[in-house]
Amino acid sequence: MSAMTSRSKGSLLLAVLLLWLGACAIRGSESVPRHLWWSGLGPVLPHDSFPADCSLCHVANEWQTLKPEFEYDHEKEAGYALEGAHARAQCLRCHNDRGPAGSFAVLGCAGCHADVHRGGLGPDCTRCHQQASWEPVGMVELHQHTRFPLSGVHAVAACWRCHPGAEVGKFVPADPECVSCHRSDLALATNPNHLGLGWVDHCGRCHVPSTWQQAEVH
Amino acid sequence: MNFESNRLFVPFVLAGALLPASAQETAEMTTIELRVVDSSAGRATLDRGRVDGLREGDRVVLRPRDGLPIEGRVIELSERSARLEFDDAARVAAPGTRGEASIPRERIGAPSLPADPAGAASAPEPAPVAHPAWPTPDQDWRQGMPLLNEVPALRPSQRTAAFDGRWYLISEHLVDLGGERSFGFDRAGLDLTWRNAFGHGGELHAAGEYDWRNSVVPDADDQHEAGLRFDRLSYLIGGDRFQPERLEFGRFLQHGMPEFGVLDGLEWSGRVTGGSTYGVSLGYMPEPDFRQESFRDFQLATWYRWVADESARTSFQAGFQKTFRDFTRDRDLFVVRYDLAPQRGWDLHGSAWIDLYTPHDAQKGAGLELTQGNLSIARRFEGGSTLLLGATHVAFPEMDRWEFPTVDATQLANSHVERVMLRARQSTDHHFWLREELGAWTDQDDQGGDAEAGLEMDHVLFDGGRARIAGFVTQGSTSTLWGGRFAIGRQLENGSWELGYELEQYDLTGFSAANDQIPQHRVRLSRDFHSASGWSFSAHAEWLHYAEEDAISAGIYLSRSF
Repeated sequence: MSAMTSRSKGSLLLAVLLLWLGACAIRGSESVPRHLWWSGLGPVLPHDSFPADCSLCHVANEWQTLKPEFEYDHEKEAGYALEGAHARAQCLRCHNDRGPAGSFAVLGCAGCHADVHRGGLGPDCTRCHQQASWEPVGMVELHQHTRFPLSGVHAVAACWRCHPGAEVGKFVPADPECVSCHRSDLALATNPNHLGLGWVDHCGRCHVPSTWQQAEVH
Repeated sequence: MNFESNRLFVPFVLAGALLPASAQETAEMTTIELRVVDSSAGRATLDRGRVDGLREGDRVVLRPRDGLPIEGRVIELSERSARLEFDDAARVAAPGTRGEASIPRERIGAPSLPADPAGAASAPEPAPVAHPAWPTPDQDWRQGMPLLNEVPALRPSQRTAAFDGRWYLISEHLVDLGGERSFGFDRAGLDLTWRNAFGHGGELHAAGEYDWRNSVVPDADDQHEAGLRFDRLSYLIGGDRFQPERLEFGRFLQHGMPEFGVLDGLEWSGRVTGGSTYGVSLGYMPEPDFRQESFRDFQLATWYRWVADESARTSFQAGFQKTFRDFTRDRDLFVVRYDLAPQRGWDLHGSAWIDLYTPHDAQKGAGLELTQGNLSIARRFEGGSTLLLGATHVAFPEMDRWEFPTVDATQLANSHVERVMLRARQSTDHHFWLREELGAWTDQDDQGGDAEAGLEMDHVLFDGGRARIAGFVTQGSTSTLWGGRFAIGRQLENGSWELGYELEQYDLTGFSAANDQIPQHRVRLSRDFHSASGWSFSAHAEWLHYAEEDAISAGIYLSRSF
C-alpha cells in the first residue's frame, strides 16, 4: 500500500472527529427507549383523535410516562405491518411533525427515506435492500436478470469498477462492451501493443472473461 | 281485495306485528349516542366504554354523513373506550362519525367492572379515598370550559434540542487465491440530525463517509484511494404541519424532486390547501462519484406536484432543470412522475426524464429525447401474493457534466437499453411460496431475456427454518447461462443466518468450442444480528470457483441507530 498522503491523514482525522461526535450523540440518547416518552419532546402529536381513555397508554398521574407494558400491534390496529428494522424504530420516526404518516406511506420507501438513487432505480427498493438492515444483498443474482450476468472475475469485482457512481447511489447501466470498463487496461496493453495493432474490440478472440489471467490464446 | 288495497293493508299488518316488540324495547332498552375517535379499515375506536354501559358483543350502528350506516360489534372494552369491528371489513368510518348503540337500561348506573358472582356478596364496600390536592392551578380556566384541557402539540422550537441518526462501518474484501488480485473497501459513516439546533425549530443535518478502497491488479498500477465525503450538511426550516413553507440550504439531496440530484445551494418549497406542493432550487451540483467535487455545474430547477387530495394517493409531478457547466449552458431536463396508490387495487408508478436538445447539442441535434423511463404496475392480493410488471428505458443524454461512464460518440448516439419484466409470488398458506420472474431486454446491438422459477418454504427443517430453491436461465449479450441455487436458513429472535449454494453454467458467446463452457460455483454463508437498542450487524463469507480459479470474499456491516 502506498504511503498515506497528507490529504488522507486530514480526512482520517475528520472521520475520527465525526465518529466521536456520533458517540456523544449516542450517549445522550441512551435514556430514550422506544416505547417510553421523553419529557424534552413534550406532546409532539395532537391527541384530538385519540381514545378518551388516557390510561390506555399513560401511567396515571404522570402523563409523560407511557405504561411500561404499552405495546402497539401496528398491523392489527393500523392495518400496516412493520417489518425488519421498522418494527424496532421509535414511533416518532414516522409519526411526527411532517403530518399524517399515511400520506407518506403511500409513496413507499421514498416517503420516509431519501432516494439516493435519484429515482433512477424505480420504487421497488426491496429488489436490492432488505428491511432488517439497509445492506444491499444478492447483486450477483440481480445481474442474472440483466444483459450482463456476472461471470468469473466480474462476480467478485467491486461495484464501483463498473458503476463509477456506486458509492453515492448513482447506478447507470454499464455498456456490456468490454472496452467500456477496460479502456485503461486496453491502453496499458503494450505487449503486444493493442492500440497500435488496432485490437480495440472482439476481445473474446483472445481473452476469457472468467479468469484472472490476462489472456489465453485460443 | 285488489292489489291497491293490499299495498295499503300491508303496513298496518306489519305495524301491528312489530308494536309489542317496540314497546318492550322502549321499556327495557335505551340508546346511547357515541362517536368514532379513531379508525382503520373494518375497525373503529369509540368514545364510550364500560362505564357508559357498553359490553363486549353489543351491536353498534354508525351513521356517516355520506353513505350507508355501518354496523358492527364491540370486541374490546376499557373504562371509557371501546373497539368496534365492522360487519363489512372494507368499510371505514372517519373520526367524528356519530352512531348509537341500544343497550339494556339496567346497565346505566351499574358497576362498570364485570360482576364477580363469588365475591360480590361478601366483598366489603371500599372506603372512599380522598383525592390528593391538585398540583396544578386552574390558570385560565373559567366556568363552562372542559375540566381537561386540550393537549396541544409543542412546536419544534419549543422542544429541547436533540440528536438522532446512525453511524456505520462497512468492510468488504476479496482476494483471489492465486494471489494476483484483490479488491476491497472500508467505510465509516455518520448520519446525524440535530433537531431544534439553534432554538428556532430548524434541523441541522450532517451525513458523511470516510471511504478507503483499493484495487490490486497484475500488470497495472494499484489503486489506493481514501477520502472524506460529505453527502449532506444542511440546515432545514419548516415543511411540517405547522409551516407549509420549507427552506433548506447547504449540501443536500433535493427534497421535492430527488431526480435533480445533490445540491450545494438552497431549495424552497411551499404547500397549498389540498396538499399540492411546488418549489424552486438553485446552486451547484457535486459530481456523483467517490469524491463529489463541486462548483463546476450550476443548476436552476423548479417543480410542481399535484395531489388529488390530502391522502396523496394520486399525484402527478413535473419539473424542469437547467444546468451550466463552467458557466456554459449544458443540460435542459424535464422530469415527470405519476404515482397512483389506491387503498385497494393496482399501484402504478411512472417517471420519465426528457432531455431538450438545442442546436448547441452537436451530437444529438435539436429536439426532445426520452433518456430514462421507469414504469411499474404492482398489485398485492389477499393472502400476500404479489404481481409486479415493470419496464425501463435508458439512453445516454448529451451533456458536458460528468454523470455517466465515459462514452464515445457512437455510444452516445446509439446506445440504449429497454427491459420489461414480470415478477410474481404466490402463497396458499403463508409457508409455501411460488416465485416466478420473466424478463426481456433489447439494446442497440442485441436482445435477450431471462426466466427464473423457485420455491420458498418457511418453517421447514427446524423451528424458524426456511429454504429457498430456484432455477434460472439467461440470454445475455456476451453469454448464455443456466443454473440453480439452494439455500437454507433460520429466522432467530435477534437475526438470522443463511447458507446457500449456486451453480451457474456459462456458454460464452464468440469463443471456440473448447473454451466457451465455464461452470461457476458459489457458496455463501451469512449471519445477521439486530437488537432492540439499535445495533445491527451483518457478516458474510463467500467462496467462488470458476474454471480453474478460486476467490474468497468476506464482509461486515455494523451500524447503530440512535
